[in-house]
Order: sequence, then C-alpha cells, then structure tokens
Amino acid sequence: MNDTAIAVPQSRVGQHFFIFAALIMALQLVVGLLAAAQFIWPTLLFSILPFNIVRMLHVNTLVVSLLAGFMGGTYFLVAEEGGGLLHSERAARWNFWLFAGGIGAVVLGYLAIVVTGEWSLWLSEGREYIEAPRWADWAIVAVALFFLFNIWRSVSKRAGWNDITRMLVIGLGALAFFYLFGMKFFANVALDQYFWWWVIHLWVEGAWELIAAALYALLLIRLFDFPRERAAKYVYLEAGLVLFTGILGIGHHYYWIGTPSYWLTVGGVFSALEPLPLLLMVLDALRIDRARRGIEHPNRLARAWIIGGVILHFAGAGLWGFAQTLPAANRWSHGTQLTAAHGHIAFYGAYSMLIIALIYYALPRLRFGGDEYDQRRGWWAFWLMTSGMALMTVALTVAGIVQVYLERMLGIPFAEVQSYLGIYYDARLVGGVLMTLGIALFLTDVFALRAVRKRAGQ
Amino acid sequence: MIFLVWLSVLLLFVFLMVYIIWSLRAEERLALPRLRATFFGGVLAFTAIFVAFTWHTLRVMPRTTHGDQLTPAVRDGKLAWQKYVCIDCHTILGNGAYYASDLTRAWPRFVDRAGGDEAAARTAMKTWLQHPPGPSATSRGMPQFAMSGREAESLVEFLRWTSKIDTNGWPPKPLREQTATAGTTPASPGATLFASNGCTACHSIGQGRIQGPDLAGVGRRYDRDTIIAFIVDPQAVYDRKGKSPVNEGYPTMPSLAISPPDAALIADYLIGGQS
Repeated sequence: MNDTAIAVPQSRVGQHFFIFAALIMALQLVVGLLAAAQFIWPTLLFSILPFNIVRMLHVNTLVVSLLAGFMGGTYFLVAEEGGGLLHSERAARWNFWLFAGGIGAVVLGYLAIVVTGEWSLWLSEGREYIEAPRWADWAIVAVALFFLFNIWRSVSKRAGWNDITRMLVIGLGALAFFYLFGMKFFANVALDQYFWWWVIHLWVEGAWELIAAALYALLLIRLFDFPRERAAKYVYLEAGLVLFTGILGIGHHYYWIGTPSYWLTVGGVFSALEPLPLLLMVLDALRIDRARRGIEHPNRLARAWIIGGVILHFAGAGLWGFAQTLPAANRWSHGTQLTAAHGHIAFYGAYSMLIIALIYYALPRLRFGGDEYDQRRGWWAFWLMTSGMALMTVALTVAGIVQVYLERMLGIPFAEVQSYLGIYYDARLVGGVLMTLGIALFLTDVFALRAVRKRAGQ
Repeated sequence: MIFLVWLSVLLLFVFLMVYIIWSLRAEERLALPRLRATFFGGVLAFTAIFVAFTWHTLRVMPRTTHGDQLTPAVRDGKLAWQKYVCIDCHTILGNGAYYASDLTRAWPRFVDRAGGDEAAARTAMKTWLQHPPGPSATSRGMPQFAMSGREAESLVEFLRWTSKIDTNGWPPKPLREQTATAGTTPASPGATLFASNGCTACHSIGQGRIQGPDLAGVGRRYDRDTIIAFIVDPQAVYDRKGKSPVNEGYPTMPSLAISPPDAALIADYLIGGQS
C-alpha cells in the first residue's frame, strides 16, 4: 500500500483553507440559485439585491473558492511532501487569516453598496470576475506574495524542488503575476478587455492548468500509487500541450473586441487544438484507473472526484469550448447563453471538482489520521452536484442555441427573445437546486465527517 | 515585422504538431530531461510570439478603436460604466453577464429609433439611464441608479464611442431583418416630444415591441385622458387599475416627469398617427 509511505502531515493549516473554500463554495451556490431565480421571477429581491450584485457575488465566490482551494491544497500537499511539516506553520496561519480577512473586507464592501444604495468605485471596480477595488487589489497581491514566500521556503527547506513542486510553484507565481494586468484602469474599453483576458484566460487556460496538473500528479501518486517519475512526465506533457495551444489560443477572445483581424486566424488555429491535452488527460486517467484497479486505495470517493473532474474538464472546456471557438461559429454564439453553458461546466469540471477531490483526500487524514471514513454522504454529493451541473449545462446550451437563432440570425430584439426562453431557465434552476443539495451534503462532511469503524481482520 | 511574426507562428505550429505526434508515443520512450527542456523552451517561444503580437496589436488599436475620439467625457462614461457594475447584467463587445442586452451597438439602435436624429437619440438614452424601466413579474428591469445628469451624459458618450469600434463585423447582421427601418420623422410637436423624452427607447409605432409594447392603435384601446394620465404618472394608473404593468410580459413604465401639456401633445400624436 502506498498510503503508508506518505505520512499524515502534522501541519493543520490546510484545513483552515479547505473549510473556507467549502463555505465560499456554498455561498456561491446560494447566490447562484438567487441569480437563476431572478431569470424566472425578475422582481425577486430586486430592490435589495439587484442582479448585478448577485452576479458579482456569484463569480467572485467562484474565484475565491478556487484560490482558497489551491492554497489549502498546496499547503497540505507540500507539508506531506516535506515529511509532515511546513517550514513555518505560524506564517501559514497568518497567511490564512490575512486572506480570509481581506476577502471578508471586500464582501463587506459589496454589502455596503446593498445597504446604503450608494455605488462607488471604492467598493467595486465593476470589472467582471475581478470586481475587487484597487485597495483590495494591492492587499491581494501582498497576500499572494506572502503565500508564495511561505511555499518557497517550505519547498526549499523541506519538500525539496523536483519537477512537480517546481511546476506547482511556477503555476502559483504565474497566477499572482497575471493578476497585475487586471489592476490598471483603461478608458478604452477594447484595451480594457485586451488585458482583462490576460487575467482571465491566462489564469484558467494557463496558470491554473499548471497548478491543477501538479496537484493532479501529487494526488495520482497518492491515490493510484502512480510512480513519481511517470507522474512528472505527465505533468510536462500536459502542461506543455496546454500552454503551447493556450498561450496563442487567447486569440479566441480577440476576434470581436477592436483587435486586428489576424487574431481570427491565430486564435482559431491554436485554440482549436486546446481540447487535445484535455482528451489525452481523460484517456490517461481512465487507463491509469483501470491499470490500478488492483491497488485498492480506501479513498474511492476522492478517486471518483478526480476521474469525474477530468471527464467534465474535457466535456466543458474541451467539447463545449471547441463548439464555439472557431471564428465562424463564435461570430454567432459570442455573448449568448452558450458561453454561460460552457463557463459553468468548464469551471466545475476543471477546478471545483479538483478542489473537492483535494478536500476529500485531505479531510480524513486531518481528522482521523488515515484514509478510512464514511463515504456515503460524499457519494450523494458527487452525483447530486454532477447531475445538477449536467442538467444546467444542457438547459443553458439549448437556451443558447435558441437565442442564437432568434436574436442573431432572425434579428428579434434581446428582451423579446429572452421572454421565450423561460422553460430552459426553469430547467437550469432545477439543476441549481440539485447542486445546492449536493453542496449542502458536502459542507456537512467538511464540518462533520463521519468515521467508519475498521472491520475486524483489516 | 508582422511578416516575421507570422513566420514564427507557422514555425510554432509545426513545432506543436511535431510535439503532439511525439507526445502520443509510448511514455517509456519519452525521456524526462527532453520533456523538461521542450516545455521550458516551448513556453519561452510561445510567450515571445505572443508579446510580439501584443506589441503590434497595441500599435494598431488606437486606429481600430478611434482612440483620437476618446474624449474626457468618454473616459468619465467608462468610469460610470464600472461604478454601476453594468457588466454584471449587460454585455459589451459580447463580454459580460448575458442577463441584459449587449450594448456594443446600443447607440445606433437609439439613433434608429429617433429617426436618425442624434440629438433626440442622446436625450432618449439619457432619459433611459436616469429613468430605466423597473422589473415586472414577467419582464426584467434595470435598477434605479439615481445617476446624475452628468454621469448619464458621459455614459451616452461612452456608448456612442464604443459603437464605433471596428469589431471585425460583430455582431453579424441578422439573416432576416425583423424590425422595419425607422420612417421619416414627422414634424409635429407631439412626434418631437415623443422622441426627445426618450419614449422611442422602449416603444415603436407599428414596428413591433421593443422593451414596451408597440403603440400602433393605442388610440383605439384607450381614451385620450387615460393616455395623458398614463404618460404623466404611470404609477398612478397602475395603482388605480391594481395592475402593474398594464400589459403582461413587459417591464413597468418609469415616470419621466412629463408635464400634462406635453403629455397631451404626445397623446394627440399617438392617437392621430393611427390612420
């Protein structure tokens, strides 16, 4: 058994981040549910929480839950790699409270808009996904640097630099670096979007993929007893394919925003190949899963979140992304519910499921010092959330196709077209309810994971 | 310069193809040091080309976006755009929240509805921003931001400037035009008031629904006094009828503070225009 080789870490700070990530994820679902409901009942809570505030909270909680998950996962796994300890547990704890405090301050700012009814650039910058105001930007950068410093020291002093830890730190460094491009004000909205995509695209199809590849590799080593050297090879292969297609693949955001027309060619060619690494990942994961079936790691649930994540990553980012990445298709689909469908399933598959897998891997070790726990609630959460997301994606996809046909092709005005899409928004809300039930079960596990008594003879 | 960049893109593409074929080989035959070197070398090369493209794009964009027409008012409008978090309902250049309409071409839409009169379109848009229609049970609405006249004017400038960005032909022209093009503006005082108070932002006469219902034949459905009362204070009419909005499937009509004499002229125009 492999899990005996990796000692349960004494470092506890990962747990702080995991609980925070899970809470933020739950908040994301709650405000998401409200947003979905406002599509159907436009007056619902409208005077208190207008849609733009709800939506701002929804996308910001998405980003924050993933950042908290990445940080927690990194602290936890780096500690495990380093024989159980971080270089400074105290610094890591400070890191957590500064991070949580900063996020809390930003959210309080958003709520101040709600309470006072006064809109201000000091409270929200009004730029999608990175609405946090300028003062918060600097605070976020400071916390990110502090985090990088801590990880750097822990890897140098304890875990050691190798191909996987190096890729992890490169990804985290790139995450912090590209955030800087979201901090400048542009009066020119086209330039604004040009650099805004440096944050968004180079995060989700760049830096975050590197982090995810490294975290996946570390989990494969643990849960599938995968040899380290082979895992390192996979990291380079995947990361290489992702970046070689993804860096110039950013061109698929530069088709229609006032940029020169050569981006249609560059973006089309390279982004069309972006699904390839994701497909390889699915094939590899399934192969590894089959080959390693004999190795019975007790944490089957964490394995399921990994395999499921890889599959939905490919479906959401690969298939749904490819469906609208070529300029000829994107010309029609750009700015419709099709993009929303793609965004939802891609984020869930690529990142949320990975974070949940990390949490389900780490929690039993933190709580019970091993890999044995009662997985029943977790399986319900897995199927509820995944089927909810599937339903939501299909509903939004159909809504998007209808919207493209009526609005873009026939030229019927936006508001009228939206009035015909009610049934799809109803179905999306049902998907959201399923997901919320799932996250409630998951959250229950995070706070009260049930132990399972070891059977005799084991 | 740009030719060299294209050449490099071609080379990178060939490199990518070779890399893909290579990566499909059995994993045992891939040496880790070579994989590592290829990764770092490749990232460097792709980054370099991306930076070169960015350099060129930034040189071209002042032209494709009419950077010389970016006045301080446009800048103020951009700040207001961010301050009211418009992008978390609307989209602009196709990016945003998909809950409300795309505003890339909002300006030409308003100009069309004002019969080509830019001054009337400006007023209509400003009126809209200061008195947006609220939501109803069946139709989405916009929050009352209580923005100042200056802010609304600068937002109009911002949207007007944005509409002139060269977007490589996006959004595409619909295959079939649903809404007929606006007719000529009749010179009656009621028609002028109808455009200058921003009514055309939501209503057409005989060209289908926009945000509000088509007002063709409204004179046959309501008497003159009701129409006048409604224009002056829609909320009072909603209260009296116990129905808000009057027509299901539409947002509520905002109060535009139109004086009763002006409202009478508009009503005459609406009733008279139904020949």
